[in-house]
Amino acid sequence: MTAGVDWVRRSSYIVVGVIACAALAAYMGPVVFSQALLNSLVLGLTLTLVALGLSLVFGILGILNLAHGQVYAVAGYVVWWLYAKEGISYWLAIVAAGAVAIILSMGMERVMRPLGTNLMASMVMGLGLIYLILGGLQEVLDVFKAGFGAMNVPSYFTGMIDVAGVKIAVERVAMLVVSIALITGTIAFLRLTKTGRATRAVALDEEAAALYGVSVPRIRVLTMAIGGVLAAAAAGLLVPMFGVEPTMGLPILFTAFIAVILGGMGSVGGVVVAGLIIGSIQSFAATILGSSTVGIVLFLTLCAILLIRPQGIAGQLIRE
Amino acid sequence: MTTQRRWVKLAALSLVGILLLLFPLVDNPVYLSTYIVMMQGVIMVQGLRLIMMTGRFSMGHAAFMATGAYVSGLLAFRLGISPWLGLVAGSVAAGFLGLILGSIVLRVSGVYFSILTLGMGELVTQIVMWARPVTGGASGFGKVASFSLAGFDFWEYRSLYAYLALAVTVIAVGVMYRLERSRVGLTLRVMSEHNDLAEHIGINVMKYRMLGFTVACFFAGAAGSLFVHSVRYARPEDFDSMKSFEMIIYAIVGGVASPIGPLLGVGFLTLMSEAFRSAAQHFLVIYGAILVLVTLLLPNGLASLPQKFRRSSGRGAIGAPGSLEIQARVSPDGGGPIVEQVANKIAGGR
Repeated sequence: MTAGVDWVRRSSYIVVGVIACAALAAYMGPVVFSQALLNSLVLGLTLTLVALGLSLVFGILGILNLAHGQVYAVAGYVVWWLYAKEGISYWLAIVAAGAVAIILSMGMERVMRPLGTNLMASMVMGLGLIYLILGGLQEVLDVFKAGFGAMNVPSYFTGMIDVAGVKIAVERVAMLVVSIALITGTIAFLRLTKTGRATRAVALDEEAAALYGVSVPRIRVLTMAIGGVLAAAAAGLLVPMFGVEPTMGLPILFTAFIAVILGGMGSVGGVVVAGLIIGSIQSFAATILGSSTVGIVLFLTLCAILLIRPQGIAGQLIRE
Repeated sequence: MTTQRRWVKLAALSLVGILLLLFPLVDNPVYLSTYIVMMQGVIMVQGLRLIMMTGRFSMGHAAFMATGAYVSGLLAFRLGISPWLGLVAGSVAAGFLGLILGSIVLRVSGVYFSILTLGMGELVTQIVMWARPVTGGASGFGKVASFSLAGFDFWEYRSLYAYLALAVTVIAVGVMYRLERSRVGLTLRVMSEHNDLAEHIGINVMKYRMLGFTVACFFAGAAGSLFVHSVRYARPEDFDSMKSFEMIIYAIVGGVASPIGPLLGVGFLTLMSEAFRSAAQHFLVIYGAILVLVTLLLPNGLASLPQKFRRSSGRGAIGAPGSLEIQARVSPDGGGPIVEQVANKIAGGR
């Protein structure tokens, strides 16, 4: 009975989505629409990379890492430094950014460990870490006389391809491929490998997992490291598009949060869907209403989600 | 022993009071400006405490400061209305906005509330940017009139401004302290620790939450009005998320468990930043480090220091609602002893 109702509800979502897409396509014209659609895929999937880390950390460590956006910012700066400023290889820069992100995330895990699963304390700590990392970033930039302003990063992938009359930048395609690969990889890791299953076990019941021989501290560190790598990858992909500035971690943190809440706290599949939805909201709001309204539209979306379906797409409501 | 401790406490409090009362006589505009900023901080953080008493953690309180500042500033700047009226109008506008937004955001709790308030803060700055013809957008507007009374322009007589700020702060803190000590405060305390229990004994939880939130927002508006007429300009960047975060840092460092916490937090951090003015560029790191250390070592903030010294066992036994320690100690499905105590008190009172 309930399964049937669930099925009706899900298919009604799909129908609504298709109708909305058709209406938008009719309103914007097919070319603009397909551009906006591509943009929403790109934004949505890269956002998912950041949100996935946040969601995994929430599910497994039971804390909310407000400083997750700072990992993204630091990784972005590493890419800028090695690739745009020093002119060393783009790929090497991304690998270095990943390494820095892992170290940073593991350090944060160490600092947050004494707090246990105290959400409020972890959020305060996250704020402290935001200040600490943002300040640290500025100190480093200051030492190297690099300036605090926004800076551009040249595109690595150049050129356009023509698909049925719509011009698509190779960069976008590369971003799509890399993020899909990383998201699939993360899900495959969680589903198929032994360590991944152990990770999910910790998310379900930490004590029981420990009784069955899972090293919980190790899983926690690993989760943070995975979150860091995903954020670094997102930074590596997005930095050529948006450039870098020290406070770049805050807006993406907010959007990633909305995705995590919409997806259902701690759920992996939900976050992917939610990331795509948020990405399309961002992209279409920017195209139709202008980029200055994106924040307002996102906030209203968040309100709507929390009032209508606070447990998100796939998650359960956490109560305090 | 207890009476002795009480005297010590009273003496310390009156010393602080005298210091606050005499400080505006200092004839140094920089110090006076710092003092005025401090007073705004105390009002804001006290409001944040009141919201925390409902078990919620607002990350967008600066939005209401912005409302007060923009309403009061724009009334004076565009329409030439007296800042005194602006102070009232700004506070009322902020309280009203708090009432409206509160009716949405207070429906959720915990993480959801924090994120929603963070978004709320962003929303208000976005609206200010968007309403450029009125608010001046990102560059804001300047040359706002300052308070004046009987021919004295408070902009020139900064000491008078400082006393005004002190007066508003005393009123704000007084009202919020009274509220906290009243049955409303007790009710909020029960709700923050055991919402279901509160509902079961017949408390209209939403009403009390809204009351606390609206009062906090009202005074945040007053703080905003004090701000805009003391610096005489308004820009959205003064009220962004970092401002809200700053208020949280004050609250946590001072300690949310105690009514004196906000003053301690604001005082300590402001004095520190004044003392190390030459190191101003390093403040982000220093603030971050302080917040991390306080969260780890002193979860109830500076206000819990005496308690900490008194008990060699380390952790103080009594936390207050909203304090980090209590959040950890009270499990969602089993009320702690404090909850029962307070619940009995309330149930007995009706």
